[in-house]
Amino acid sequence: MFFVFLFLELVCFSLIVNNNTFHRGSALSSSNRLVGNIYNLNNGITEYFKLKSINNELAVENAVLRSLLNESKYISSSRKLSVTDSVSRQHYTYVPAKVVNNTTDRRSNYLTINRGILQGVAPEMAVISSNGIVGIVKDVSKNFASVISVLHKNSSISAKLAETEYIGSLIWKGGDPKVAQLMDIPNHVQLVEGMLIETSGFSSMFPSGINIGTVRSFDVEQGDNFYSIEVDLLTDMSSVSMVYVVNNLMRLEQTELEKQAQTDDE
Amino acid sequence: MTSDSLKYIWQFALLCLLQVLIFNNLNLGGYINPFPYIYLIIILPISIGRIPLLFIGFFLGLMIDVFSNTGGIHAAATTLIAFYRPLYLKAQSPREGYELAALPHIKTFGFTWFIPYSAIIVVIHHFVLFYLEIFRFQEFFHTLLKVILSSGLTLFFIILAEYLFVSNKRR
Repeated sequence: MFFVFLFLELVCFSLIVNNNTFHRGSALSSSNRLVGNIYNLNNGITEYFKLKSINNELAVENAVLRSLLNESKYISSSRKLSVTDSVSRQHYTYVPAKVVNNTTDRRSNYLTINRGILQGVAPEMAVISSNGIVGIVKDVSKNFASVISVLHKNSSISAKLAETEYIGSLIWKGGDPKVAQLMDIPNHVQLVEGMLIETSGFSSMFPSGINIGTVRSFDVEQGDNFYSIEVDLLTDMSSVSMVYVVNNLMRLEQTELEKQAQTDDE
Repeated sequence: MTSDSLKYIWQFALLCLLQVLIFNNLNLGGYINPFPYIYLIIILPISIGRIPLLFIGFFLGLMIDVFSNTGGIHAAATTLIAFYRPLYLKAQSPREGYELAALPHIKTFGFTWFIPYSAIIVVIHHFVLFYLEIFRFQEFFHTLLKVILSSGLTLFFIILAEYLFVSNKRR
């Protein structure tokens, strides 16, 4: 009797430990097919209540994208010469996805999105919304993926102060889902409330220059060389609905090279 | 007997769905996450064997874990309360023993018996759950506050369910 109890608890703890690593079998997570389909069904119903704000968000994004089109630019040069661009190669591709489940009130939050292996989603890809960063893909099944939210106790994202190029890491200490914390910015940097914080591009997941948030408040604790900065996240994590999965086409090359450099050290 | 088993299987599925589709999405300021799905552990018949109860607890928690990407923290907490429940019932048993096939409800044992019984199960469950979730002691008091507030709300839902869904007939 007691041993059955002990055995079951041991199973639980091994599951907990396993859950903290990437690349594990996705049978016991929300990227699992049954779970994904139930969430999808539920999302099919609740989505109607959010249609208005989703439409607004998409309309704003369309406007921004439209302004980037060649047609909406005035060509000031009168030369008519076609140039095939051999300088800029495609570095990132984007897979649009819909959030079918999302939490923000746990200490470690996850999202489930309706795109998986079949659509080219793989673990450790970044997920962004039109406003800013959202998280990192953890597990994938054929048609679903679970995403570690920015609002996760182990989430740590390389971030920089947009105007100063100083690099820090963005973590979340729990509580308010609209506020995260930026660490490791040295205390000699001049900070102003409202300064933009964006991704550094140092990790192989996020492209550089994706918005993260703005400085809400900052202070230096006695005897500390670094600021503790509170950051207003630009993505409203509690209502995020349409997202993009970022596929870094050169990720493998970068991570292998970095791994090589590390093993050479040892 | 089989119709009873069917009833509990149905309640198992219903409570899981309610938990993951509704209660997991209640967003109450980051402090309050109620987990009324453990109502199943509370209302299983007193005569149920201890080993079946352990397995029901384990699979109930595992189900919630699968849906909320939490590894095994719910399963760990529900297995613990499934282990603890018979100990509590034994310690609190009336002099003449429990009626055979008695169900632990307010209607059968009264409010003053039911409240401490369900409260202690809820608090143990939430305590284990929230501390396993953060897995560190840095945020001790913050987490304690979460345990207390969430337990209160879970208990409220359980009592609500007792009055709304438990029919008057005595077993």
